[in-house]
Amino acid sequence: MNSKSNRDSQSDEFQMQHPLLRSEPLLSRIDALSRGLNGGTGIACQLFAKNTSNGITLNPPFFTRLTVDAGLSVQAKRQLLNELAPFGVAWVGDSLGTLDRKQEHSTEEPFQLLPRIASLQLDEHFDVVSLDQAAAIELQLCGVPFQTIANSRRARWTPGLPVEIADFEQLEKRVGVLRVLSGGKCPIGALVSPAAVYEDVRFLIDSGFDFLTLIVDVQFGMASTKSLRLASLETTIEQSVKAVEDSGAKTKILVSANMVDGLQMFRCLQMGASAISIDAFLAHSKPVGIATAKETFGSVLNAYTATVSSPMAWAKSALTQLKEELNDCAVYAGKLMRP
Amino acid sequence: MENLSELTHSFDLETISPLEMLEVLRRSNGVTISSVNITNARGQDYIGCGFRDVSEVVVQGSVGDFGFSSFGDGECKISGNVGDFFGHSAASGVLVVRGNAMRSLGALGVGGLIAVYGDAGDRAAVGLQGADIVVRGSVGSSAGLGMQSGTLIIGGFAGRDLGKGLRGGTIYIRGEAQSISPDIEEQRLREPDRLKIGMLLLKSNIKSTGKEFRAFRSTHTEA
Repeated sequence: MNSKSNRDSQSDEFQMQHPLLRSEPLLSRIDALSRGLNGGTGIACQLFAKNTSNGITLNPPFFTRLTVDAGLSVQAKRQLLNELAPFGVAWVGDSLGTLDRKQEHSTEEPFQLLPRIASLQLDEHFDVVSLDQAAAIELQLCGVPFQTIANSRRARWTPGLPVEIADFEQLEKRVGVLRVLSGGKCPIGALVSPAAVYEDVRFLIDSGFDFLTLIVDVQFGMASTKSLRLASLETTIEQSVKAVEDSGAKTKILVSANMVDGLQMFRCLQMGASAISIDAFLAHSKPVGIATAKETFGSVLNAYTATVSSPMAWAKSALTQLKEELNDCAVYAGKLMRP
Repeated sequence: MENLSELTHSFDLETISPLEMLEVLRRSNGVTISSVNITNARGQDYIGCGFRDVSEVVVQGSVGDFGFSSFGDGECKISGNVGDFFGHSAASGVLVVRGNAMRSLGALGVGGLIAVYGDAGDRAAVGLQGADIVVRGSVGSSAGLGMQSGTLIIGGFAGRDLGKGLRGGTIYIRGEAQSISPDIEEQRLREPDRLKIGMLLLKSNIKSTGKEFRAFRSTHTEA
């Protein structure tokens, strides 16, 4: 009896120290991701502008690029983001709020509270208004600027640095001008599809970026399995994290890859990525199947949005499931880490 | 130090950074500022970056890289030279440079007029998206690279690959080009062209009849 009661008291004591391991409903323990497990170091991703305390927090460390890459209509974007709003998922793209204000019946929508990362193409002028409203700015260093081939989807992802930013000082100055235009308040990042990961990341860190988004997989069709892998995910993260450590900078690494379940994402976070894209997961959880090979995620969802009353409800369930999966992983990892 | 006297500002770049200068102007809360006088400009980067709604800006000295990026709604006169990417993403207004400009003058400008009384470096008017650029002297190689719309007027000569990747807009040149890209072709100078050149030169305070120029447009554009 004594030994059992000792075990119980030890168990209670352990549970006091590790409240996440209590037998509570999974969803009530959802903050495992943000609180962290050992020592309270959260898993939330904080992006700061250089030498300031200004920045944003991605909590949970998710972001979506569907709003800029998938060719979604404005309506579909808003509906998708409104579903993602309770989860606090950051999104990349142009301001939808500006469009809203032009409409007569403009009201505050949930997605307007989400952190927006403004995307800026290399051959795109600086739109001060859009940049001013953004929580962070991401310079898109993919694709071929000033390309003469219209709508080349593959060319868009070709790693390329144009003559203007080929040398280190030019890129640093481009980061500097964005910093001045944003009043020094926004973290400035770069989107790259790295080729020589370590060298590319070092180059970009030296150029002064606060965060880097690495595109590891590019998805062309409806199916998450139909993607072009530009580099190995593990190697990319390992090399980029090493580059950050070697440079001594506080640059954060964000990863966009073909990750379709929570375990893959958790592993990615554990390897050192600060935040991850949920695009492949959402594409994997889509409510409709592949119709034809030419259809894209955006084209199908746009059609779906026009015909179904609550077309993006699936995204909410998918995110709930993802958080459960990630929470499971976090709790399980915590158990494994128990001394 | 800044000297606030109603709607006029004076900035000494020895004591204030371009970012701080912009913050002072942004604190004006939408009130139009009649004039800004900037002294001790010695090639610092980002001078005048993000200036909007300032009626008149006068810069004594030279401006570094990315000077007057996203400039709009006003008139600016610079007594010295300017660095790379001067007038990047200019939205409207007039920027006048009395000296020379370095590379990528007026890159991605969407509106307004940029006038350079001296020469300009490589890739002048790169990716131009609607602004007008007047260079009284000569330009370097790849002038008008990837232009989409707008006007580039070159009073002197041009380097290699004039109009490379140009998809829209017009290049007017008075002298010769070292080589002309196959993306553009010479077209007959019409009356509207002469009027346009004359008007832009007049706005730039440059005397010329506008008759000696040749017009180049994209090979895919209808005459």
